[in-house]
Amino acid sequence: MYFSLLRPALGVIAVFILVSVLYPFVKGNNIRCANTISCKETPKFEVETNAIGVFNNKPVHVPNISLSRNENTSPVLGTETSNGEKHIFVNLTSQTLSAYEGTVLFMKTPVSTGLWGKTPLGDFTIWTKIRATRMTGGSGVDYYDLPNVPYVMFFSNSDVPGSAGFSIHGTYWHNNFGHAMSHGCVNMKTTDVAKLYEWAEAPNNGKKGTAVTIYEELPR
Amino acid sequence: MKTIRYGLEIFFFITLATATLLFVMVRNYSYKNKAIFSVSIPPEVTPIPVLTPAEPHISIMDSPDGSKTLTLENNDNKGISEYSLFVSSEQETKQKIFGKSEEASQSLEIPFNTWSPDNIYVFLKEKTSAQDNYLVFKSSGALFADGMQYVSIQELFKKKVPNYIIMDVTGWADNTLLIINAESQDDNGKVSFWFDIVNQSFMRLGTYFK
Repeated sequence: MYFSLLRPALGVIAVFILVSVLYPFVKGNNIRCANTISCKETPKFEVETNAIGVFNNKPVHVPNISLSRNENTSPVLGTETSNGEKHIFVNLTSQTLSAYEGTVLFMKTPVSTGLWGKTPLGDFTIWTKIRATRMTGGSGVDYYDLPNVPYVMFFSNSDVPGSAGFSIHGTYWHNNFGHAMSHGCVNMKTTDVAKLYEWAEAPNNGKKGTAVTIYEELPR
Repeated sequence: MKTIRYGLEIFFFITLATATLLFVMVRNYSYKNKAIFSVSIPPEVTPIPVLTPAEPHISIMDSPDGSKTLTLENNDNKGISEYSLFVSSEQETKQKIFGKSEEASQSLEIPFNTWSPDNIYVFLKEKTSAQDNYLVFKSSGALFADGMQYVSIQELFKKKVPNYIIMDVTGWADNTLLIINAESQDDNGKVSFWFDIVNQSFMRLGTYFK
């Protein structure tokens, strides 16, 4: 009698364990890959000269990247007078990015977020900064292959792994900021993102990278 | 006798000291008054009003790569706004590419996404009481193939896409394609178009760029 009662209970426990183990994988697989390259391998610094890119299946002139200036990403002396934690907010409704240090606004500017792919909502941190890299993705008419994407700040959290390839980066193939125009990343005007890249921090000595919160406003 | 002499001498010295003291006091009083008057009296001259030209209102937008700058200067003159559009860069001096006078009810402005990604074109928004217009220029100041200084998107759109009204021109989809958000006059449906500046043609899109 005890055995007949124990069997269904063990079955329920087994199903519960199975779901607990498999759920994170199933959920993780649902996150679309924003950048095919970073979904296969760790993103790396990569620059090409006189390259031709592809955006929405059309050829794109790729600006060469001059690395003659000092590309040292360590903090500039005299700018470490922190009044508080650095935090980047991306508002999908207004298509704007605001960067704060404590309560002090460092920058507010129009951006372009996901149109052909969703930009994930939530709290993230920057896990790596790369001066320039190649990005590919999409398919069919929205296929893209873009070398020399400048000032890339990849962000992640426990739900959206770094391998999903979501990032804030510069944009040379369109100039339509303030309107959704990306495959999930946060596109910025290159002159703006250059300043943000210098300001934002990658993880260092156990300290997490700059926080990124992506949200949308609820309809009133 | 001696007593009288001493008395006279003392009287003389006292009189001399009193006179000297009075002289110094009177002299100081007059100096102070002179100094006070020289400072406090305002000049009795009516100031002549000088007509200084009003400072021009200046709008600036750098190109996406930061290599060029578009500047729109606006001088108000008796209800008429005089606009001048300039392009400059580190290598080249400031070059005027356009000038126009607008009535008070109209204005020109530089949108955030004015520059094409390759810096070849710029566009301006012309706000009017009726419908906003959008003017596209070559940033070099060169004329278009038809000899025109700029392309008026509103004018072309009315001719080629008669059933839609332009709501906004948001920016550049690529080096030569401007994104137009329009509304149908029949059912108010929202549609985006590409405007190809090279062919001066419109392409209706399946995606709406809200």
